[in-house]
Amino acid sequence: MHILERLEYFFGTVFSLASDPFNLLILFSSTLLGIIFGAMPGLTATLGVALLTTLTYGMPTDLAMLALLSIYVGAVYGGSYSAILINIPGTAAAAATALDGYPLACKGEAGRAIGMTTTASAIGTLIGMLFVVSLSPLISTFALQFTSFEFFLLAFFGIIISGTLTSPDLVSKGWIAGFIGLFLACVGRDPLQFYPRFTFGFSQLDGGIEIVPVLIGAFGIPQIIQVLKDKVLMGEAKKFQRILPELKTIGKNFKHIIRSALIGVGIGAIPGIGEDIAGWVSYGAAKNSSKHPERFGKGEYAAVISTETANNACIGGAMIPLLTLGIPGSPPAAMLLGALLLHGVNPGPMLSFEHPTFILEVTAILLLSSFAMWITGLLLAKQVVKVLRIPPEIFMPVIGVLCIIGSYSLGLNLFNLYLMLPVGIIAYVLTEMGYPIAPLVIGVILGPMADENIRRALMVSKGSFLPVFTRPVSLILFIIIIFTVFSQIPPYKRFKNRMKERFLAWYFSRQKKRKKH
Amino acid sequence: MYDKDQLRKADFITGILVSLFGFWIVRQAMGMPMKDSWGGVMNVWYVSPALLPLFIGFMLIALGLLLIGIAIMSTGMRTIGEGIRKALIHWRKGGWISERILRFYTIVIIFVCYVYLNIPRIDFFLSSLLFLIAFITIFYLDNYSIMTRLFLFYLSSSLFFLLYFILGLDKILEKFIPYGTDILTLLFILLFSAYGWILSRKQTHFRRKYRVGMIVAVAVPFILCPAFKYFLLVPLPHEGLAVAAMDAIYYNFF
Repeated sequence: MHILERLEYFFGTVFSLASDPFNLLILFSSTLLGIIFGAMPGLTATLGVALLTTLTYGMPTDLAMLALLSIYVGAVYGGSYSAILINIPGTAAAAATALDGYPLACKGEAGRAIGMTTTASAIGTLIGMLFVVSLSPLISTFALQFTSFEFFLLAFFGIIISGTLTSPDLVSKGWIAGFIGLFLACVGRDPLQFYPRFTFGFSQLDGGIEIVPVLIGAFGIPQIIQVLKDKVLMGEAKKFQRILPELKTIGKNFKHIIRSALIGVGIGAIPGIGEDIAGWVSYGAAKNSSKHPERFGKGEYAAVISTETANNACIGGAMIPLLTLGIPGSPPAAMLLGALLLHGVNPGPMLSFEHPTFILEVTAILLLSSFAMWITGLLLAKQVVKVLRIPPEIFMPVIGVLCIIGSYSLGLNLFNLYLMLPVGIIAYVLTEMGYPIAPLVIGVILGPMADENIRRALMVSKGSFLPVFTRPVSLILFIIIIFTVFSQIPPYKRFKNRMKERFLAWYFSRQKKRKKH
Repeated sequence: MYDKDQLRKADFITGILVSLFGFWIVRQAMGMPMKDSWGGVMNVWYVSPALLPLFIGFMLIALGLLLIGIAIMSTGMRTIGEGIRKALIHWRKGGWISERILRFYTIVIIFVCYVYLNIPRIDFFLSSLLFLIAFITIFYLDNYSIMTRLFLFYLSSSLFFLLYFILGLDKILEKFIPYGTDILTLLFILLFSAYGWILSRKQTHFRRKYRVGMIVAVAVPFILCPAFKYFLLVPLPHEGLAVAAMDAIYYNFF
């Protein structure tokens, strides 16, 4: 598609979506629902997208995407409400926001802080959107040259990197979670020879494990158990007056916004790494580059702006590998992948051939949802905050019923329910033991890709692994995987630290010599 | 999540479990066609359906062993042994009945009863109503004594229902009374609610919480069931007494 044609189609889509009152209703109600999900501690963006997937199953794809992306954008932003007002981040993505947001609320500046996070989040989403529209076609074209070896290594890389970066304890636990996910993906008849693997004679398992119930179980049930078991106590929300867009202060912090947006997009594009890490990295970068790092943690606007811009920019970043390679960049994006597959859209390099306008439609929806989020945030924040009064003991059982009916309604299969619950309980136990859930989910999603492609690749090469070393992209991916694994081994870490110390010693001695001269 | 010391001790056990799981995967994969003919196609190792499971199995064995190694290196075999011994003594002395653990068992048992016992056999509206009433009253009243009493009441009646279904009494009852099982569930819901009221009526804030909980528990199935059945056109998992009543009302008026 020519660039002008693309622009014309993009604005045409924006206009057609925005001119239909029903679309606007879906857009604003999903965004509001997302903000509520994000604001309530215990409910997450992933769970919001998961539950809405079941409700949008019967809708046309574009309308379903409008609802799902809006709830995703709204939920990532909504986490900042409880972070600022009660010092409990509504989502993990807003954890860094609480550090400075709550002190601001204690100073009586909650309204101003929310106004700023609203505008920063909208800008972050817009910048993420710009990256989706500009980078996705390039990556898609590049990915068309990938062969089975590259796809296998890409899937494997996704599992390894997500296991490495999301593990709260030992890295090996992240990898174990990834391999358990890969095992779950192996259940069912294998895609090449239809041999039944790990089905134990259950005909319901022949088609493999359904992704959406597994995702609902893995993200919904542990959340319910965690909140009710540990008695999450909600504090009294700080009061606030007017909420203004705070464009002047935003303008002053423009460099923080740009840097955080870039961090957000970059982190979002890494498979399985969510908005929470983007928020923390951006917070760290803002603190390191600030002239007054001592003000951080005591109510600094730059901190709040940076974290909120980064976590919303992460959405665009997460969409890039999802649309171009079929690899979700974050847990909610994994859920979106499940929703897309349900609607018969297979994300990956062939997407631009099978659905040439799909990426532009997603971009248009991101633009509209950031706009809807901004308006809803500025106008309805005071009303939304009231949901923080609902005790978790009331809404968590309701979420439980939604998880159950949601898992059942996809395929009208009771077996999905029988599967969802054990997955949820196992996911909870794993979380308690310090195993991350994101790699498990990424493993379930990327498993079929890894399985099919490694066997196809070896079939073509007649069992030889040599093409891994002769094809440049394969070789680069292989080196990155090996480096990622080896960089976690203690002797390597010790060697790296020793080399770093030696380099710093040499560098400072050189600097001293220069000063003397 | 546990603290670091507890995690290392738990890692020793989970490491063994992960390795055994990996070993089981390898054993299962060895039974898959590696070089024989399957469906008229001669296999070679690199197209075998066992290829990825073997890789996963070996990786899990290796990572499990690594976990065991890290646990031993960071805390020492003796500390791990002592930790396990102490945990067993604590368990035998009934230390597992702490409030936190009881809350966990309660959540899991309510979910298990809802998914495996009630949904496939009892009208979805009624089973959801029972799930919500039980869940909300047990946790929202936030009193350990009330929680244990309500939970034991729920558990004993769930065991009754389990026996009722295992012995096939549902079929016998439904021969004489249409929707017999649903009527029995409705009676149980009423009994449970009455017991909850008796336990909570002594204090004003419990009474208020009980009222709020009951309103939510009743309102949610009233909204969800028609929304899924009539607007999203999703047939409910088991349609019985309440859904039949809903159908009669809906199709009479719309």
